[in-house]
Amino acid sequence: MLKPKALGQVLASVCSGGVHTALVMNMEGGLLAFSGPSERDAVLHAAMATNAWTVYEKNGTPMRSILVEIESGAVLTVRVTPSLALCLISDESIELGILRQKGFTLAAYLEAPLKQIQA
Amino acid sequence: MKKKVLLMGKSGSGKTSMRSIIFSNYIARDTRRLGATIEVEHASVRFLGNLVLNLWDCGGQHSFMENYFTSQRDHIFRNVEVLIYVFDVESREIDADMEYYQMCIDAIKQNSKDAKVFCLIHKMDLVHEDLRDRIFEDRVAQIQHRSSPIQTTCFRTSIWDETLYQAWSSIVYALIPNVRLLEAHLDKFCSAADADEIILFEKTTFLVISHVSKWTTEDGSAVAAPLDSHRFEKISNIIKQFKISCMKAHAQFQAMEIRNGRVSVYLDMLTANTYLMMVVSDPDIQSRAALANIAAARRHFERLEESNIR
Repeated sequence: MLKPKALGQVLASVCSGGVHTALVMNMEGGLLAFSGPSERDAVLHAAMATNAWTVYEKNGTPMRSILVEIESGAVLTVRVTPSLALCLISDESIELGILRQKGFTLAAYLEAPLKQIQA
Repeated sequence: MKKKVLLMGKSGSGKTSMRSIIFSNYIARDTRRLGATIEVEHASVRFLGNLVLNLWDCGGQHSFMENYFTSQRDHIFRNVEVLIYVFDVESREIDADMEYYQMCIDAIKQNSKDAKVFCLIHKMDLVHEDLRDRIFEDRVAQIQHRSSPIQTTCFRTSIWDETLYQAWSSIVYALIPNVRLLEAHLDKFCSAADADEIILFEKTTFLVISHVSKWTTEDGSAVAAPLDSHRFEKISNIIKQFKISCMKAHAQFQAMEIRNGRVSVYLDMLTANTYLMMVVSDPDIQSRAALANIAAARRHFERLEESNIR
């Protein structure tokens, strides 16, 4: 069983030093949990990120992560389990290396507990 | 598992109407076309998959009632799990009603002394609102006086509101085996999913089988939320009516999700025989997460139901 509050708190812990939004979503674009300034934006980000992900996957490349630099910062999407992904959105104040480090560490941390929910 | 449920009361008191609404998807208005029940009508109702309620809808006309207490007495009153006796609140012959009731109770005392007895004071909608409490208490006192030492549970009912569901929910609750175990599991589910309230309904009748409430304030302390204590039966009534409307429009009611600024409500099938309603007031909990939890719970409760059946 997923404890939504607990997952929210874990995501909140990564939102520092430039990362302003963190979310967990399923591969259909549905938002499972988020931490950030606006729920509406989080829902939009989840949909767009999974959209981009599935486009790449359909074209034959199995993805592990996608990092996109945008005008206001960067968006990192990391696969956590076969059906769930983590998405971190940052502003320009953070370096890409640190963003990747945060993302991959959190994904590894969440992998075991989130895998249990799928079964 | 078969359980014998006797439904008795004078002619015209509302027994067949009640049965039709709860078990046969009638709406209150449809019961107008029901005629007098002849002799005893046997209805076998499947409840929760493996429980069969043998409803003995006993025609209340004088000649049949005479039969029940003479030639058919043992046949009717033996092995009874539950006796439901219906009193028409409008009846002009209260003493005669009580006499019949006394005969039933005496027959029960002799043939099925462990039976649970429920008395429904029916057609309460025909009584003026201000007088309802007094009349109800008066009848209850008479009934309990005549029934002793058997304990009776009395309800005031009407087919036009949710009181019918409250009474019948309590009746079937008394018939479900392992209901406490089910409640313990529901309780754990409620805590695990961070939900505020979980209600379990039987699938076809939409009677409330069980519910768990854990309303908490922001700082985590428990709060007795100022909620309507009759909300469960009201929900039964509303959802059942909606389900029947869907059936009439040739659509199958499957699931529902309602969100507003203060609360989210998820209504979906839990097992083959039960429906679940989950109420979540925390606005940060996403609907996908709640639905994922219901899916996880589904597998768990299905296994539980299977082990119960075996």
